[in-house]
Amino acid sequence: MDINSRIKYINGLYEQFLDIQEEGLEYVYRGDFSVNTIGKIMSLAETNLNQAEDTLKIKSKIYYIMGEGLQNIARHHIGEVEVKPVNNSIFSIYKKKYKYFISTGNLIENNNIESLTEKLEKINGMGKVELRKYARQIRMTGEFSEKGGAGLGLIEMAKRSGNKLTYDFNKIDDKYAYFYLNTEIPTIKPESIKESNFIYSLDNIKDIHEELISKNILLFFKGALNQEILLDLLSIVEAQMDISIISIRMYNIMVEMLQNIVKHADNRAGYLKWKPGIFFISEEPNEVILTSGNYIQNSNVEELKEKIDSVNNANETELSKKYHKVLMNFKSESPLKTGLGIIDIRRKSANKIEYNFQPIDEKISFFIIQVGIKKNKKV
Amino acid sequence: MKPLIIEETSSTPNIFLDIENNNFELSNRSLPEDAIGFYEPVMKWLEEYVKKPRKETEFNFKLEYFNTASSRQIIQLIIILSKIKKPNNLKINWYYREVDEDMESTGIEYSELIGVKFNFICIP
Repeated sequence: MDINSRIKYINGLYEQFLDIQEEGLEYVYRGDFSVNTIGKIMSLAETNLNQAEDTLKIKSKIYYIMGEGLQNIARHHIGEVEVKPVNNSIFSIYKKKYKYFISTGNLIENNNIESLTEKLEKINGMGKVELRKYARQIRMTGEFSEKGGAGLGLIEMAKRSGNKLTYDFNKIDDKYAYFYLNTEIPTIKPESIKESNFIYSLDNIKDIHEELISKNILLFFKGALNQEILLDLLSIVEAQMDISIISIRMYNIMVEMLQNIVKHADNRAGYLKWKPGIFFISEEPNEVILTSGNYIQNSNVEELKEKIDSVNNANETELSKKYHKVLMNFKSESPLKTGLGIIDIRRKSANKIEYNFQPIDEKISFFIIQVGIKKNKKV
Repeated sequence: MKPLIIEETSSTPNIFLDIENNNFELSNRSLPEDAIGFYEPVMKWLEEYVKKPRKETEFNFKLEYFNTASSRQIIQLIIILSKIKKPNNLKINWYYREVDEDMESTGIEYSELIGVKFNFICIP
C-alpha cells in the first residue's frame, strides 16, 4: 500500500468515527491474541468501557461477554502453527443506539464449521430458562470438546446478553475459515428515546477485518485514548516485540504519537477524560509504518503544518541544531509549542513525516500523521 | 539531607538519590503525562545537593526509555549536576543496552551539549 492509499484509507476511517461520536464508543483491536496478551486487551477494553456512562451491572455483563469472546479466540488457536492465525484475529466493541455489540473474528479449521453451527443453532433455538438448564447440564456432565470448551462460553454469551448470537463463516482455503461472532447487549435507554431497530451487521466487522488483513496492518486500535489506555497499548505492543533497534524506535515513536493525541488533540464532544484516536502499525517489505489520527482545532492547523514542513525540509545538521535548540530552551514550558516530539520522530525514523488535515467543519479537522521506520537504517 | 527515593511505575522511572551511600540513580523508563511536575522534586533535591556535594559523586543513568517531554527534564538535571566543580569529582555513567544505539548516541549528544564527560556502559 503506498502513502496515498494509506491516507485515503485513514480518511475513510475518520468518517466512521464521526458516525459513532454521538454515543462515544468504539474499540477495535487487531494484533496478538495469545493468552498472555488477553489480560492486557481486557484491561484496555475495560478502561475504554469505564469512559461510557452505563450502569455497573451492564458494564460487568459486557466485561464478562468480552472475556468469553477473547478466550474463544485464544483457546481455539492453540496448536495451529501453519498460518500464524493468532495475529489474524479481530475483536471489537461498538456502541450505538443504546446497544452494545461485541464482535470477534478468528481462524478455525473448516472441519469445525459443522459442529460449531450445530452448537450455535441449538443455543439460538433456546429461551432463557432452557439456556440456564442447558448450561447446568453441561457443567454437570462435564461434556467437554477437545478444545477445552463445551460451547459453555457461547451459552453464557447468549444467556447474559438475552439475545441471539449472530455468526458467519468465511472460507479462506480448503483448510481454514474465519469465524465471525456477534453478541448484542441492550443498555438502559432514556424513555424519551424511541426504540431503535438498528441492527449491527456482521458485514461491518468482516469488512474492517478484510481491510486490515489486505493492508498488512499488524496492530489496529480505534477508540478512547488517555494516558492509562496508552500504557495498556504499549504493554500489548511490547509483549509481541522482539528486542531490536527497529522495535525500540517503533516504541519511541509510538509513545510520541499517542502522547500527542492524549495531550493536544481536540476531544470534540467535550469529554474530559479521553480523546478519540486511531492508531495502527502496518508492515511493508522495507519499512514499519505507524499511523495515527485525531481531531484538531482548525485554528491550530497552520502552525502544526508549518512545524512539520520545516522539520521535513531540514537536513540532518539542521535537524540536530533544531533539536538542541528546543531541548535546551527551558523557558518554553508548553511542549505543544516546542515541537520536540515531531523533531524526534523525524530523526528516529530517518524519514519524512507524512500528514493530512481533513476539514470536518468550520472548527475541527481530522489530522493524520504517518511515519515509516526503515528496517535497514544505519546511523 | 534525606535520601530521595521514588519507586518506579509503568510510566515513571525509579529514582534513588542517597548521599550517604554515594548511590545516585535514575532507572527504568520515563513517560509521565506531566514530566515537569514529576521531575520537580528531583530538581529541587539536586539543586540543594550540589551546593554541598560529596567529594565523589557517581550518578547512574540506567534508562531504558524516555519520551521527549522527559528528555528536557533529564537534560536540566544533568546541567544541575554539572555545577559540581573541582576539587569535588562528578562521574556520570550512561548505561545503554547493546541493541539500543539510539540511547548511546543520545548520551553522546547530551554530553557534548552540556560539556560534561559521560562514562558509557554497554549492557549486553
